[in-house]
Amino acid sequence: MKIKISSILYRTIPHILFVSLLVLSLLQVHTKGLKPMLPFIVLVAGLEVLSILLYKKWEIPAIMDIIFTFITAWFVYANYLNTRVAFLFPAPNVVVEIFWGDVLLIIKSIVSSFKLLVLGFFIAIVLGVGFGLICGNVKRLRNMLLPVAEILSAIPALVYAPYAIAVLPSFWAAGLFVISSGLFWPIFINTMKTVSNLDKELYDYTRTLKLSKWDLLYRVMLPYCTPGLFNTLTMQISSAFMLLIGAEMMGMTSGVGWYVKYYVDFSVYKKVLAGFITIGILVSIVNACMTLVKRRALVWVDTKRQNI
Amino acid sequence: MSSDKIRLENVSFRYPDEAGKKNDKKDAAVRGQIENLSFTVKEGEFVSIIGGSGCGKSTTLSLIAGLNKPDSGKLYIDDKEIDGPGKDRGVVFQHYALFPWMRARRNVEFGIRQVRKLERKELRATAERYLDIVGLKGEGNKYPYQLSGGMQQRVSIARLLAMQTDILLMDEPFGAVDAKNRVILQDLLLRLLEKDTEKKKTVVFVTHDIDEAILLSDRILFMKGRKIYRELTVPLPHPRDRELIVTSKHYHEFRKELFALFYDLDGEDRYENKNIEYFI
Repeated sequence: MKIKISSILYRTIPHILFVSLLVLSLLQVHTKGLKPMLPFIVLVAGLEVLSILLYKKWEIPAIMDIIFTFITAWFVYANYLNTRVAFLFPAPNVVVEIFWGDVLLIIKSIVSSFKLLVLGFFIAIVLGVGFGLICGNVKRLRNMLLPVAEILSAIPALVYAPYAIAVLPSFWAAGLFVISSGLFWPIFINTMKTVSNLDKELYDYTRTLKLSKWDLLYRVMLPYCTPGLFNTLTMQISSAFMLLIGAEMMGMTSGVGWYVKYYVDFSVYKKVLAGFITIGILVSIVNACMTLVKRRALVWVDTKRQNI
Repeated sequence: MSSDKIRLENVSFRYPDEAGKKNDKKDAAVRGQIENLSFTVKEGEFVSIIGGSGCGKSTTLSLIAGLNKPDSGKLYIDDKEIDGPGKDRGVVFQHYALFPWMRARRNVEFGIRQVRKLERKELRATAERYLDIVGLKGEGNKYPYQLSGGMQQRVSIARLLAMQTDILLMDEPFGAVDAKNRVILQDLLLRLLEKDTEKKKTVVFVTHDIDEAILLSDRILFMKGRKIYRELTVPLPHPRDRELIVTSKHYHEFRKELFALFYDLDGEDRYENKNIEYFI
C-alpha cells in the first residue's frame, strides 16, 4: 500500500510542477500581457503533452522532473528575484520568445552546422578508414606511421585553425579542414590497430579461401572494423562539437557557434542563451542520427557481450 | 604411391620467436614444433592426430592446409607439392571462424562463391540445402551471435561441406563445444561422412579427445615430442555407432592402449612437472 502511494506521488510530481509553472506564467500574463508570454506557455504545454503521450515508451517523467524544476527555478529567479540585471540573466520566457522570432535564422544555423559536421565526419571516416585499412595491412607502413600518428593526433586540431584560415580559400573550408583533421587521427589509428589484430582464425580462414586482396579488404576487414569505428565516433563526438563550435566562432558567418559568438559581441545575452539551447538541440539531433546509423550498421554485434 | 592423398616427408617446422626469427635451439619447451615428420593419408581415409597440448598436432594441420610453410621437408597432395592454401582443402577451426557480420546462410554462400560461380537463386538454394543437412533448417537468417556454439560449428561444417572439397582438415572442431553438443556433432559428422559413399572424403582431424578419435577415425597418429610416437589402426568396422562400438571387445583393448600412451608419466607430463619445479 505504501509503495503504491509513493509511486502515484512520483508520477504526479511533473504534473504538479507543470501546473505551478502554468500558474506562474499566467500571473506574468497579468502584468506583461499575453503576447510575450505565449511562446513560453505553448512550449511548456507542449512538453507536458509530449510527456503524457510518450509516457509508456520512455521513462519521460523522470526527465520531466528535472526539466520542469529547472525551468521553474529559472523562471522564478529571473522574473521575481533578479529583475535589476535582467539583460544579463534573461528569463526563460524571454529566451523562448527569441526562438519564436529568430526561428528561421536558428534553423539555418542548425542546418549549416549539421552539414559541416556531417561532411567533416564523412571525410574523416573515408580517409581514416581507407588509410587505416592500407596501413594496417602493410607492416612497414604501420611501423613508420603509428608513432607519427600518435604525436599528431595529440595536437588539438583547433591549433591549426588560424593557419587553415590563412591558407585555405574560405572560412568554411578551413572549418571543414579543422573538423575532419581532428576526427581523422583517432579513426585512422583505431582502424589500423584493429586491422593488424584481425582474429587469427578468421584470417586463416580467409587464407584457405584464397580471397583476393580487394575481397579481404572490402568484405572482411572493413566490416571487422565497424564496431571499433563506431566506438571511436561516439567517443569523439564531444570533441567534434568542440572543433565545430570553435571553428565557427573563429570566423565563419553561419552555424550555431557563429550565432552565439555574434550576439556575445553585441551583448545580447538573451540570444546567447538561446544559442546555448540551440547547440543542445543540435547535439541531440546528431546523437539521434548516430544511434540510428549505428543500430542499422551493427545489427550483427551481440550487445550483451560487446558494449557498443 | 598413387593412393596416397596426403604425404609428408621429413617435415620440420618451428614458429618464429618474438623477434620474428626461427630459433635454432632444440628447446622442447617451445610449443608447436615438429621435426622430421613423415606420414601418409590414403584417399578416403579418416586420420586423427592426437597428443598433449603443444605437441605439434595443430602445426601439422596448418602445414597441410598451407597456412605455414615447412622449414625443411616436403608435403604432397596427390603427389603435387603443397604451395600455400588451396581450394582443394577445407578447414574447420576450433572457434568456428564464422564472419560475425554475415547471417548463417551468407556465411555458407560466401564459402561456395569462392569455389564456383552460381546464380544468386541457386547459390541461396545450395546454402539452404547444406544448412538443412547439418540440422539448421530455418536458422539461415540468424547472425552467428544468435546461435549457440554447437550451432555455429554446424554452420561452419555446412560451409565446409558446401565447398565440396576432397580433403577436410579439422583442428579440434568440437573442442569449444559443450559436452552434449559435442556428442551430437560427432554423430553428425560420422553420419555425413559415411553417407558419402561414392567419393569418400579424406579427413585429417586434430583432437585431444581419445574417445572422439576412436569413434571417428580409421587410423590414429599419436604425437609426442615433435614426432609421431605411435601409429594405430582403429580395429572397428564401418558404419560405426556410438552405442555398438562400446560392446565390442576390440574397442576396450584399443582404448586402454591409447590411454596408456596418452597418460604415460615417463613422457611429456613429467617434463611439465620438471618445469613447474624450475619455476618454483
